[in-house]
Amino acid sequence: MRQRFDLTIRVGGEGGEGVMSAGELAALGFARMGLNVCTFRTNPPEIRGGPAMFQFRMSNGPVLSQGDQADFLLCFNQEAWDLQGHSLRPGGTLMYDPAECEPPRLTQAGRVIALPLTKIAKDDVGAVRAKNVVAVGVMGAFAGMPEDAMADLVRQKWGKRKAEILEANLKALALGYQHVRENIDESEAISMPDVEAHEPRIILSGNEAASLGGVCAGLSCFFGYPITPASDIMEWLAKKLPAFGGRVVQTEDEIAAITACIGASFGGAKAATASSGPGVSLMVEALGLAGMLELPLVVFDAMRSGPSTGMPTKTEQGDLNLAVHGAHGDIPRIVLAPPDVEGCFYTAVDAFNLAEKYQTPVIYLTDQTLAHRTQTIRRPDTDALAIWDRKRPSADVTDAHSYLRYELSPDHISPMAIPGRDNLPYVATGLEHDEHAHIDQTPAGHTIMSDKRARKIEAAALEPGFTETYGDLSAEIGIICWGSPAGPAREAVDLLAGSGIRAKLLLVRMLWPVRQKEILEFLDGCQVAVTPEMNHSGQFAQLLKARLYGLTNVPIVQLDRVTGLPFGAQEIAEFVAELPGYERLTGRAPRKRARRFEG
Amino acid sequence: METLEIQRTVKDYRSEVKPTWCAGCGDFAVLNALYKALVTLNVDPKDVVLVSGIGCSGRLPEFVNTFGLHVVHGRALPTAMGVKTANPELTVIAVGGDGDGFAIGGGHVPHVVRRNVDITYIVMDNQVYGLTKGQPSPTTPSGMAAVSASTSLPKMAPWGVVETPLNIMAMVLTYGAAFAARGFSGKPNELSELYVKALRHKGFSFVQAMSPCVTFYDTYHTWKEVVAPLPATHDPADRFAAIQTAMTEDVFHTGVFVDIPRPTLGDLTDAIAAHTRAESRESGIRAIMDGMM
Repeated sequence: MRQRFDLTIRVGGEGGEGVMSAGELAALGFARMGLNVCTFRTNPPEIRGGPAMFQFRMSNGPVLSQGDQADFLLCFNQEAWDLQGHSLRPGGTLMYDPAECEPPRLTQAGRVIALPLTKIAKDDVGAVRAKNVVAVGVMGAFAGMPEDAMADLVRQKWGKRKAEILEANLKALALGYQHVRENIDESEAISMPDVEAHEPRIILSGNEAASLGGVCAGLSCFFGYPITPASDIMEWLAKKLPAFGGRVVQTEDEIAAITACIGASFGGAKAATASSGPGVSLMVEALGLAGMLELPLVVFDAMRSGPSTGMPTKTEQGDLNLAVHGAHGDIPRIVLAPPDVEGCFYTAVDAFNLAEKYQTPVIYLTDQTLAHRTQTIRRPDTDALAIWDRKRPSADVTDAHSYLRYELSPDHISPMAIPGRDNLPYVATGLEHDEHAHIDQTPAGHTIMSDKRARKIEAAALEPGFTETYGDLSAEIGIICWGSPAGPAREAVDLLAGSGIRAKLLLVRMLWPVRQKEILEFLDGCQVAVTPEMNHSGQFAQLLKARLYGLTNVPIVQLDRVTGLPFGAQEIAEFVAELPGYERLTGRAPRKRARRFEG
Repeated sequence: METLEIQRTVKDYRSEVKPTWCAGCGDFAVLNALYKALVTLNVDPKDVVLVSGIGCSGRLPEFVNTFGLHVVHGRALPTAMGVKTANPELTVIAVGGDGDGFAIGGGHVPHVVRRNVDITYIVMDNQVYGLTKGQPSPTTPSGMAAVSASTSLPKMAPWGVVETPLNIMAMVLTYGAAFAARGFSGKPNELSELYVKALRHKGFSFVQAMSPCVTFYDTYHTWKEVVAPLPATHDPADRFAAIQTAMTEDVFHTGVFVDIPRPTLGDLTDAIAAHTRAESRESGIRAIMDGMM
């Protein structure tokens, strides 16, 4: 069996120092070598200044989370050490820039290496700004990455800029390599594994994967308003969508964005917007309209810490209640959440497909870490994707008088005429209406149409492929997850198995309608179910408790937290390990544990 | 081969739904003028989308035999932009009242104007909230005069309207509207002609249709006295003159204030698309993924 290689590198510095671009560049280099890579970043809310952190984990096996502790920690400055020092694994390697940082002599580090990044950048490159690329050279050299390959990456990134900039960066890279060659003993370098043949991969961020999934599903009209951490969906599409005949408009606010989607969808296009909690809050009234008009559209919500302005650059799963319940009156909707970057792609395709099939808004929940994380994924076979389009009137309906836009059909889905294409003019109205779309405010009318809209969505709960299990299915401890905690939770199942605790995982990718059947099947035989969520009240746990009331006796124990940082596998494993014998019987929260705040 | 074009009549554009407005409402004239304009343009009903928000005027699409989209309060303009973006071949008309357009929806007007989305926006300005029964709107004149002329304004403004009204024509002109006109429901023929001009204009066109509310703020008689055509010397290519007129007039001038065409949002995005267009969907997606490794 080939040896498992699994390494986590963390880089800390100040916003604007190039921490992120250095990390991205190195991660891309390792991905090109054939390793699986997953990155994790925390930005300060400011553009310049404030602590910035970039971490990447790479392995010759699957990488499902950002990694619990860093094997290598590179500190650009003192603050980086002060904030990130704790993340270094005991015995790990600390690298620091002596011009900017003086870590205490006694640390958990196994090795401490002073790297004169500032000095090299200033004296030898002639531009202190290039110190991040010197650092990339150091990392590349340490990991045995061919220097030519890294130089190609630098050319790719800065090739279109001024010649001096490219030259300076190439020089910085070479000096980084040179420093390692001259000063670091070869035996101290990381020994990289031989990478075996693997299927083609691509590396991309969660937001890019969501956008690409949209393009593949036929997205043609996008309207959005800038907001962290969703803006890069709009920016990516602004660049790519015109090539496919699509259009992107930056609107004056989120209300304009979603109502423009409603107009575009009525006009026959597959439409989407992307935002985060504050913007999605503004969209709620129009979301109800889309539900009432039975129009397909997709709202991408890259969740960030709330409430209010909260922590704009930090992660949270706090918008589930908003996505599932946000409305006046009862409206149909589907809520999806991908677990990882690969899931971001396929879930986006699903989002458009389900929106079309069920003629309903679909809300797609990611979170800041998943949206901004880059990860290697299997290159999708886009020819194999099934793409669905909305139900249209059959050709024999030619008389507008007999056309029923909201026909009460067996599957509760009705044929939708498109202006310009179908000679069946009708008026879609947010007022309650009958099958003809004519206004109908009668008791029977409202009851029948409310039933139609609700029952239409029930069938979506039976669409296959929206749950996944992992681990020993006879285990008595179940973990139920949605969104990005699924990765660390899956690794936690393995960690627990290693210490003799049997646990199993249910990953739920469709949150509304609730996947009652599969969840009950999973709970069958469980003594306890743990729900790790990055929000304060356990929004998914509350939804499960409400929807499963009276159908199961398995206690749900919530693992909720709002640190603004993603879960680690270790943390989930420890929580679960403390459960048996106490909470399984009471369903109460486990004994008080010290709260951990570091990330 | 040229297809034989049939000439449509008002019957082809009138729906079976009878208007729900009060007898004598100015909106009847606005609607009839619209039927007439559609007849003049002879546009296929399946190629027309009428978009409206909330208010008495918001019901208008129900009464027209074209596609219609009756949305939430204040959002007719961005919705109409969405329809036009999805299918630039459609004739898209947004309609609504002064409250829908310039109170709750006021934030959208400058942006749809500056994008020069190729749609027509008809505002039925009655200077009052009718559907909610007589509260002052952003265009209600200030002071006691309006209140004493109304049967209902005193409920909300027992001591007179204290806010200054918006001059919506001046606003739209300063936003940079490519086409802006004003008509009066008491002069339906002129109103219809203005619609035809607005609909033929390629780009954003704005028509302020002065349309009295006979129930809550009956201004028919006073407005009849103060409506006058723009001076024959007015040049629709002169935006400054138009703004000056709009800001200093003591009558309601009717006619075309400005008609200054410029490229539309669709023209400009199509130009971008023209030189980034992928050979095929598949090749475009392949190229994107090739760049991700």
